[in-house]
Amino acid sequence: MSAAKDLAPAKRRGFDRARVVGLIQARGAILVLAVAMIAAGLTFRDFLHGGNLADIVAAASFLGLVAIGQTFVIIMGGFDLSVGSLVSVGTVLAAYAAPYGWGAALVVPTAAGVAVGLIDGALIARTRMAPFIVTLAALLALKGAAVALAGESMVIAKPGFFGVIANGNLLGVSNLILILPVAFAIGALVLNRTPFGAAIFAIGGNEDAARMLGIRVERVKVMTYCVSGGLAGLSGALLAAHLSSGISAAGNGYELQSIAAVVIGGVLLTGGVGTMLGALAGVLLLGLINNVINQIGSLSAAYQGLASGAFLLLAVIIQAGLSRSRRS
Amino acid sequence: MSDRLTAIAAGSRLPNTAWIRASSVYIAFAGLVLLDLIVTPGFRNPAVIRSLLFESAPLILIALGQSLAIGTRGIDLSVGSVMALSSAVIGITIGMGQGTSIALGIGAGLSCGIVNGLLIAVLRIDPLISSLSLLVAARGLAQALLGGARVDLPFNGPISWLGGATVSVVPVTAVIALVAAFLFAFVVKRTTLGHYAIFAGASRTAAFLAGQPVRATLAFVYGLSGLLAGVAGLFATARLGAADPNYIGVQFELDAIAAAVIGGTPLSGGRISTVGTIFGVLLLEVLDASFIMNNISSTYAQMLKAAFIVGALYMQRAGA
Repeated sequence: MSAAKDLAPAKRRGFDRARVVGLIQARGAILVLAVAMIAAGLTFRDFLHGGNLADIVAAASFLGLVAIGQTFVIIMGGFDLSVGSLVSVGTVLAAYAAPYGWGAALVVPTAAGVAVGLIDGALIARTRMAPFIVTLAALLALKGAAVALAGESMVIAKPGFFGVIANGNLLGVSNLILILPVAFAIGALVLNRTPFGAAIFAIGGNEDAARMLGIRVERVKVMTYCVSGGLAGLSGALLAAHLSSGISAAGNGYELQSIAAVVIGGVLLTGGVGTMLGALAGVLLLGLINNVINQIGSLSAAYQGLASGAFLLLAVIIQAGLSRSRRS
Repeated sequence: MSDRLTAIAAGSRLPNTAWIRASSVYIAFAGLVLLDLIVTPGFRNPAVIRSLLFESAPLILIALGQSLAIGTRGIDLSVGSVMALSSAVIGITIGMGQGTSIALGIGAGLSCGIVNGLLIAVLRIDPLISSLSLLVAARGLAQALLGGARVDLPFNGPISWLGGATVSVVPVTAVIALVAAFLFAFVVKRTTLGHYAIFAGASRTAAFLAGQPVRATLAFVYGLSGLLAGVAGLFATARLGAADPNYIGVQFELDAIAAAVIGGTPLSGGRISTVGTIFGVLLLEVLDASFIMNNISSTYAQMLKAAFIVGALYMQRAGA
């Protein structure tokens, strides 16, 4: 509906304004990331050091996995607040499963995440309760579950190969650095090249229209929350492998950070618009902010929240402006 | 759409469930208190009631603002962080005298609310998104202001008085919160402004077509929510005796939403229950206390809270 409206006046002006605005919306975060990297590289001698860049990517991989799921959900017009607590529960379950081998330690948290996604998705799709409230309830319940299962933390005594998954390296490149681009590439493929991805865009664009097209909206919704939950569980498992322990507060705040990253990356919270590459840029931008603040010795970690909050606020305001200029 | 029609049809066939739904929060509260009186040792102790009310006072304030925002079919996620910001401002300005410091703290909350309101009313950003951004930004600002550290406040003067003063067993802060609730209910039920807010929630389009100042109303609603959060931040700071940006108001937005929803303010907007919201807060606080006083980890209380939220929402859906 809006697409046709967008294009008509733009053509008349002989300048494809809608396309330019769309391009800024989708690729702006990548541009900002590039500018921020150059600025940081010029300011701090150590920033462009290979080791430092590798640290940023590795540290971002846990949030990155969560953000992929969040991207799916938000493009579908949903919202998943449960992911942060799921990461916590994931680390704890991985710690419980680790004695039974690395396979169990990866599969159990992921499966638990899928199960939670199934419940969230079913409640949202079938009973039509607001995604915000359903996943909020899941956030509370899971946070309680993580503490109930592990107290504050539990150590994985012999991580063995499970630890190698997160801390080892392949041909000299740390595994964590490899995980991030691979995961995002798979995410982008699913989003752009499969019927499932097309259905997600269709539902986010206009749910009723998607239903009329014959898309099984309820099923796609449930599947999407399962993907988001599963990725959060997997992220928890990797975090447990990295830290050699399950920590009940490990994923605190991931729900907001993942949403922030995705929104900064140009995914519209109104649904139907967004790219995986943008989301990746958002994740890396948040990681870069944290890294830079750590490099400025005089600034404490207290400024990380302020910086990412300011970025998020700016992104939201710019997005609102872009959306409006696209419509007018 | 068709679901809603069948739900209405189902509701009209079963008028009894509507009655239970409308009073569910009071039934749950009475049941829980009764259970506590029988099971929980020391629950009758006035000190317990006093401490419960001290904890409830700030939450009542932000839950009121929240129920108003939800009544306009919006939401305010920023309240917990705004409490922290108000606390941080009190912490850094305490040297300017406590009166000034209190005024600046509350003013910081109001400013946050106004920014939120402008984002929503002028830039037409979805309240969920704007208040989420403020949640992150206001907490970050609070931490940056105090360098992430906690600042202890003096043991005398109005702030410490607010943190301890009671009228028999009822804390002064709770009295103020209840007076605020009374004024709030009056504004919502009896003034044009309140009617505008509820109409904006019931049908935004109809409100626009009727020529109501919808945007100004929204700006007012979120400004008020920020103001209440500023006062709540003052109360929490006074009770703690310190300004702590990492502790004050953490996840209070969730409790405030839970209280409003459990208290019978539907997320679909158009209706606000002030008394229900207050009892929603009391229910959550008594729930926490019951678990703690029986030496059961409060994490289980959190899981039960989650169940209450889903249950309340499910019942609302049945009657929507």
